[in-house]
Parts: sequence; structure tokens; C-alpha cells
Amino acid sequence: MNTQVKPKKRILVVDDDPGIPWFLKINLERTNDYIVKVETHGSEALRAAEAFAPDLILLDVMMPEPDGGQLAEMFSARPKLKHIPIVFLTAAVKKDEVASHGGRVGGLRFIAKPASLQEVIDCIEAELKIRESGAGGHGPVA
Amino acid sequence: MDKKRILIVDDEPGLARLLQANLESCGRYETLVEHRAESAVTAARAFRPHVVLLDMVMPCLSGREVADQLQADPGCADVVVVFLTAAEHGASAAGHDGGPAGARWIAKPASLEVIIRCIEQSLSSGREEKGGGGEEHGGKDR
Repeated sequence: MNTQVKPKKRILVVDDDPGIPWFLKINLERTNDYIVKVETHGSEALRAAEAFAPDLILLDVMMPEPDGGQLAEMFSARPKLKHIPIVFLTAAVKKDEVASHGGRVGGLRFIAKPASLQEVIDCIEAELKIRESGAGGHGPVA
Repeated sequence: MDKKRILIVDDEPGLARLLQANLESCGRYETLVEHRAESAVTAARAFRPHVVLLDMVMPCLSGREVADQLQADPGCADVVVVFLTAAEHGASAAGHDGGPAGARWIAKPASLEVIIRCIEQSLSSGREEKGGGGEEHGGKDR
């Protein structure tokens, strides 16, 4: 019997609306599959990502500067961070719009807010699977 | 089985909509979000909720004041109120600090499991007591 414990995946959630990332942290960590770090200040996100070394970043699009798009560009410019998959959280894209494009808009992975926990988990797992298969990295940044 | 109606009154739109999406994804609840405390009673009269999840700290009116208004309204007096109170992020909420005495409350941020358990317990005790407060439910994730 294989008793090897699967390592928990490290998720950084960057969102300036504090209720959302904390809700995600508590609920994702309850699954025992994730360790979640919350960052509510976009300006601190780079530092947080370098310190935390996440497997994936959930990134709110609409934030005071730097916004999600600008942050994604900054992550891409850092050798340490550029291979970390990013999933954008946004209320600006409709659910059916995202679903009809297989979760991607313009090559980027999006979750339309508000999303159920299961939708978030499915998206995280799909994105991590892509990375494990070696097809990861950031897409074009809008 | 009829879905139970849950009115979420919270001035944080992101969190309220996230809670709404997650409660509705269970398939057991029909939800309505009201962001303005001063419109909560009107919303409750129209929606006739079984449970009101009521943020304690809101501009214009506090959750406690809204609860008093609900209690005083003949159309809403039987509604079960569960207060949502902000706990220190990441801190233990093992005590009952922050929650109004004699009321049901959930410390934010809470896991979905805790929120659902509190709703279900409130529904069953609401049926027994017909609106009597009394029981301290308390607590986020423990």
C-alpha cells in the first residue's frame, strides 16, 4: 500500500477585498490539500510570492495599482516567479463567457467571481496539472 | 425538498456574493444578498427568509439595529437571525468574544461547513423555539 503523503500545494491569493481571500484560505485549507497565503495589498504581492514560493497564484484583476494585470507582468519579469501559473479572479468576465472558452480568455486562465469553492478547486487542479505536464508558464499578459 | 431561503445582509459585496454562490452550490438554499442595512427589512418582507445572515458592522445601521427592526416587524418577527462578526484574521475564535450575548453568531472568516451547520442548527432550533434567540452558537473553524 502506498502510504506516501501528498505534499500540500501552496496557493497565494492576492485580493484587496479581504473577505474573499480569507474565505478561500479557510475553505481551501480545510481540504488538507493546500497551504494558502493571503495578500491583500497588491504592492506587497511580489515580496509575498518570492517569500512563499507558491505553486499557483490566484490574482484579483481589479485592485488599486498595481492591478492584477500589472502584477502578472511583474511576476513574468522575475526569473523566480515567471513559471508560476496564475489564475485571475474577476467579476468583469461572466461565468458563461469563461466556460465557453474552456476557462481561458486571451490565453489566460480566469475564474468569474463569485465562484463556488468547487469551481476554484477544479480550476486550481486543472492549472497545476498543466504545469506538471510541462506545458505551464504564463500566457500572454493582457 | 423545499429550498430554505437565506437573506445575506452584508455591506462587503465580494464576500456576500461569494457566500451566496457557495450556499447556492449546495442545492439546499435559495439566497438573496442585500448590501444596504437600511434596506434589510424591506428585503426580508419581500423575500421571506428562513434565516438572515446579518453582518454586525455596517455603515448607517448596525446588525444589532437591523435585528431589532426585524424583530419589531410583524412580517419578519419569526425570522432567525445569525450574526456575522469579524474575528481577527487568523486568530483563534475559541471564545465568544465579538458576538452579541444571547444570539447566534458566526465569526468571520468561517468555513462553509461551519456556516451551513449554523444555518441548519438555527433552522431546527427556530422551528422548536419559533424565534427565540438564546443559544450561543459561536465560533468559526475550530
